[in-house]
Amino acid sequence: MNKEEIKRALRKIVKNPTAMLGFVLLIIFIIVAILAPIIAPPDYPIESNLKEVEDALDDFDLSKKTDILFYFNNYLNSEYQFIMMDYPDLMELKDTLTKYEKNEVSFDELYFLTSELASYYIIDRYYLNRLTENVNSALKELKREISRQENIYKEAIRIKTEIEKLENTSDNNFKKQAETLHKNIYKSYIKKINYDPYIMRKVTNRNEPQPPSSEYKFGVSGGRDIFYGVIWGTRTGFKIGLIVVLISSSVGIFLGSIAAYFGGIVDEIIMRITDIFLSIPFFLGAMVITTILGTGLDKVMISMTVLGWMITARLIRGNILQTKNEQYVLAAKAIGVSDWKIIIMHILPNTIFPVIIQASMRIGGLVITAAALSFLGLGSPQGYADWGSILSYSRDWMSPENWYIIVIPGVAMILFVLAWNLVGDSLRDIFDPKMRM
Amino acid sequence: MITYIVRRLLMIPLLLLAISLVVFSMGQLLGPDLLVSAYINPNVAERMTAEQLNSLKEKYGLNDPMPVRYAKWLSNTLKGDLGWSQVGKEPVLDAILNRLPYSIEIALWALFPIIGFSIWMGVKAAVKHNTFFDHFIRVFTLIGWSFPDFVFGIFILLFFYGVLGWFPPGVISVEGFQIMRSPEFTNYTGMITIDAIFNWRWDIFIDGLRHLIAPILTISYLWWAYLLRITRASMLEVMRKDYVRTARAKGVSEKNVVHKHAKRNALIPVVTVSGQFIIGLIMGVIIVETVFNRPGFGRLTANAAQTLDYSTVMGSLLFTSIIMIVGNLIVDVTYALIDPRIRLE
Repeated sequence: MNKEEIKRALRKIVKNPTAMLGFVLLIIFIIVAILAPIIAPPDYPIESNLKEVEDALDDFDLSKKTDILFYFNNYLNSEYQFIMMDYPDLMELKDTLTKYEKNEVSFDELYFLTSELASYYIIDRYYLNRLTENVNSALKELKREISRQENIYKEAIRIKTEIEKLENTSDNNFKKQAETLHKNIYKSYIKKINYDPYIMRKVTNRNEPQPPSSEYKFGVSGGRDIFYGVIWGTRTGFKIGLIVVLISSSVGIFLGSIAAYFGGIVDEIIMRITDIFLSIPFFLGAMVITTILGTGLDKVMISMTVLGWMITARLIRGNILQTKNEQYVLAAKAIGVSDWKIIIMHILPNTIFPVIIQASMRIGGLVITAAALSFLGLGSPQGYADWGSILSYSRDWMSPENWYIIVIPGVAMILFVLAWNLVGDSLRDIFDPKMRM
Repeated sequence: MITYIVRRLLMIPLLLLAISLVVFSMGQLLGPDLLVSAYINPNVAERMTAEQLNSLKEKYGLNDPMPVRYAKWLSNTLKGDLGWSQVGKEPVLDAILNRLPYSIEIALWALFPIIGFSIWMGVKAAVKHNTFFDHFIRVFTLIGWSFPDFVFGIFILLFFYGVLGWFPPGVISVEGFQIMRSPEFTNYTGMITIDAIFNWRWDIFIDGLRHLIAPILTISYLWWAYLLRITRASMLEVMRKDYVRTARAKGVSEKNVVHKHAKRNALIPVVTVSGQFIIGLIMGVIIVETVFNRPGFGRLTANAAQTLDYSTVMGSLLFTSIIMIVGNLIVDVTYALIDPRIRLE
């Protein structure tokens, strides 16, 4: 595309009111998604010791140095005290496990050691039960648990050395060092307690909806703040749409171009596989795969990717078949350019536009499917900031006075999908006027 | 033409085999531990010891190599034995067949308004290209296209039931249900409105229809949007064709040009889409029956997925895939019958 064409395309967009609406909506959503932590700040958990450090650092003088060190050590003790104490025992268990696998130790010895550790609450009793039921899988689970604990221990040691380093820094550097350390430790704390800003926190334990107020601008549904969910849901929407479209389109482009370029038996096999996948109904198929893999946004995305590459593959195959016999491809072949280079450098750039347009038109539908899965309780986990799950809370409270729990997330979703559809539509109008609907 | 149909028919068993393989391998992702749950209640399975579980796995051949298991599963499936449905509390095939009438009822009722309305409006919008009516239709379809079906269903429920109290969820009122269960009412098909006509009970018919309108409206709106777009686009294309100009030139009235010459050819792409449309109805039914609380095939599937009832979910997938293959075949053959260009291949 040269400059002139880009100019012409831009003029067409500006002249077309629906296209402009789509782009403006999309830009608003992008801004909201980027600024989500500012518009609806997540409620990061507070750790009392780290909070003290933060306060001390806010108006710092050297007299507070001992305080800060004290609170850091206090944090270390309160969070990692047990793992420090348990570590030798865990190592012993690990030793015994490896010995058991080499048949150097009997099962009874292993069982005895495990039960002893379980009685001191070093490991969960669950593993003891597992050992009696199914030894092999229990061993696997135990190993996983030990390596998890080991990682925590390593983290504790890391923090400990960092604090010791801080103790030895000069007074000039102390404040700066302490600040970075505080940031560091706080990050590891967030990670340790598995805090995820995408999970809408519960603001109340009552299930009934609360109307919009100054504190909760869009009201409360299912005990969770709708405003927070709607804002962070934009990020979820983009995440689902873009990732699924990117991966599934790449798979489709890859398979479609191989099929078209090499032809013959390769083409036949790939296209028959495509046919088979096309005769699986998309929504039900996604439902089944999500059910099998278990709930979670990543599982939803996997299932939609698995079932979403076929149309792209067909499209790109058709396009390549058309361009395959063009003179520039034949010329490239004649001078001995390799097959892959011809596909990537010569054919794809000339055939990819329809795929990009089609991808942008698919995003809306994908977001709808993901939301529908969440609505059925199959998609994102409990409390995840996702429009579909916010709507699913409303199922038991459907009455006119609770309109806000339905209309607000619903409208957000419609506008998001509308934005993508309008953009895809106008892109198609511009680049492929024949297809205009 | 006949060779084409024969070729397509010969492809069907192969496709079915391939689909069964895909569905089977999806089930295999579960692993033998979870697969047991397709045969017995998971709550019971949890309390079983490892040995008992192993003997169960042995019994159902879950520890066999993959091809053996596939052969066993396939022979069972061909016999109609898809396993036990925990949600339906009966064998999977029975559970699906018993609930199907409710879903077919929605699909049947939705079919005519969808196709009739969208063809009528689509043709009209194309004839009145770039007028206010046309723009209105464009906006209408764009919004419909962006409306997630469950959101639209909830909106409908909120407005027509919550505010106006017209169309309640469910399939029939309590009184109607009692009449239906009484001896003088015979259930022929399991579809409430159809049975009511056969029994000449118009009160039941109206009762059933009242519960049907909101789901039909929900499914229809989204398909109106889609079919309208396609009818309008293809009609616009045909109206620019030479033969239409010729017809006009020789003095055929505008009405005849549109309805006799243009519309017929414009509807060819609409036929292709109707294949997707049958599938779309099945999918739409899953959402609509969940939103409007109707005990049909779609809700069975949704409930099964929610409670991790794998055998039912797999059965539904197999069932709909078969419908989809057969539906696509019918569409392709009709397409070949209508469009002479296809026959040459």
